Amino acid sequence: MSLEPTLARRAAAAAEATGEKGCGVWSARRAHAVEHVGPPYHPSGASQPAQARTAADQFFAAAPGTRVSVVLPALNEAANLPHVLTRLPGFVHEVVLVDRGSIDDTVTVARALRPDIRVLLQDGRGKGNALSCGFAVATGDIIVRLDADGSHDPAEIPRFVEALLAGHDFAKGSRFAPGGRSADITAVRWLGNRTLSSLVNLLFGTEYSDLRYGYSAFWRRCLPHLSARGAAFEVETLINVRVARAGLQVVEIASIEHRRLSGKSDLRVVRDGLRVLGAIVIERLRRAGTEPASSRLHENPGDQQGRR
Amino acid sequence: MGVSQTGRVQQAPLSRGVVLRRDVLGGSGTYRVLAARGAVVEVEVVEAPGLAPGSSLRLTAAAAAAMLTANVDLVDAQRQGVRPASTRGVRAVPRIG
Repeated sequence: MSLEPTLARRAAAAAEATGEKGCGVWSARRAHAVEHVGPPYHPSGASQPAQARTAADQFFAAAPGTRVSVVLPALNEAANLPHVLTRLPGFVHEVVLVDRGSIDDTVTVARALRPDIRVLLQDGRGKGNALSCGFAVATGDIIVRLDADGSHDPAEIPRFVEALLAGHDFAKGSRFAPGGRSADITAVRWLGNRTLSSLVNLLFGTEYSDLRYGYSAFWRRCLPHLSARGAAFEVETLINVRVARAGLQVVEIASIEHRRLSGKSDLRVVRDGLRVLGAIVIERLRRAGTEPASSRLHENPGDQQGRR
Repeated sequence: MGVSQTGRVQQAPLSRGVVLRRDVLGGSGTYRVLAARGAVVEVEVVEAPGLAPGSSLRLTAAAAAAMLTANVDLVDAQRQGVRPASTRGVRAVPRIG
């Protein structure tokens, strides 16, 4: 990606021109500084105020060749996709929907809303597998990972992209960074997340404020460090830990998690929390430089066999 | 909202003609139930971003049961372009006792 330094310089110049600041910026290995981002980004469209044009808008106007892919794992999201797909920024060049075995009209609705959408059927089980399938076929220079259930607002994508264009490798959303919040978290889940985040920060020298949030974006070259193919509920944790172990430059983006329809019981949360804890311990014990077999990306993922 | 204390979405009897509303990301989608068959409910789109009104689609019964029931008169008025006297006509009604 010899293009990236140029991209970063242009984005930095654009950000400087618009007076924007970074947000929660640090290396995953060692904290540098924590700055806070400005007001939330307004989505492109009729409701967008004229003053809401950001560095990302200016950058993409100047460098239209930069491609942004969005990967959406989806399971029975027919009622949510109309709200998610219609809010994607105009500069997104590709959307990859990974169907996790929906029994409703998820795929039909996706194609009706966005005829150019790429639809895959995941070739294994679990969210980690679905993400790996989607990441492997995405063709963008930048890949954004978004939930299709309406809990992640696509209108925030430009802020993630801006952070990458400013020179960071991996931009992760955080509900607990200043400006972020969640409408869908219970006290038990908050406590579990807080505890696990602290543990990861202690073991891996990070400063994550929100370990268990999946909204993120990264440069394509980071893919080898992001695989968590065998993972299910712990997929976000594994990705965040592996990003830290790889020494990538991480930035946290304040994000608002919206309410979703289906919730998990606290009992399930405790069980899943223990599973995440186990994954953290195993990851800590794993020798640096070794890659678990279950996490390798497929060379020829479900795009061919599973494509609908 | 059709979500029990344990967080599980419960099934509600979804009879033909019931109008459901789903609020997502500041927008809303409205659907009218056409038929319920086991785990899947067929609905007609009354209003949803990017979807043609009158088209039909299948939702899971769990997703449909977790939606709000909407005021049918208000939905019809909106569909016909009539501005309702009150914007409070759509109400959150727990579908499960």
